[in-house]
Amino acid sequence: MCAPIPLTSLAEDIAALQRAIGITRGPLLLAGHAYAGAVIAGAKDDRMKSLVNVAALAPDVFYRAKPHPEARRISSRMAWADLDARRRFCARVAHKASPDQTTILEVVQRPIAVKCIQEKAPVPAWKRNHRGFS
Amino acid sequence: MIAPETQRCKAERMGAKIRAQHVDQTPMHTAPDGVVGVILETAQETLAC
Repeated sequence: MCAPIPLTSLAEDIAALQRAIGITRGPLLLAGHAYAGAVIAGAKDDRMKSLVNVAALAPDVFYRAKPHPEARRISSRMAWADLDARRRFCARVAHKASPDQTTILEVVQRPIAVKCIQEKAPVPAWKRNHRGFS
Repeated sequence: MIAPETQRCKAERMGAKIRAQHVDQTPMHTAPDGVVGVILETAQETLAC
């Protein structure tokens, strides 16, 4: 299943993932892309068996990422209304995408709060005896 | 975009198995077979009863 994280802060995103985990059964493999690597590393559940980080962050305790300059600029919801800004952002992170894919990415990408990558990260799962994959 | 050397450094720090591929920052869109392959490999190695 895909956990609907709000991208409002690291703690709130981890909480949303925990709620999604709560409605699952059986052993867990958590996969995260980019920033979501920090989110899956912050989850806690005895059923967690593995993490898959896809081009992802893997913050250690107290780590804070430096936001991409463009990400900071377009992180406000006002700026997000600027389609040209979204196009520039997508061109930077998805330069191998087809025009159709890029169009979809521009539409579905939501603004991410700078708080997500400025909050101190909790002790990551890969430090709590989970096997990590990247 | 997260630099490849940064990703490798972080992966080594967490003791991860590394599967490097020539992809952009959104491989689940532009190289989905590789991403699915890594997830399935992980599932087979870690979720087996």
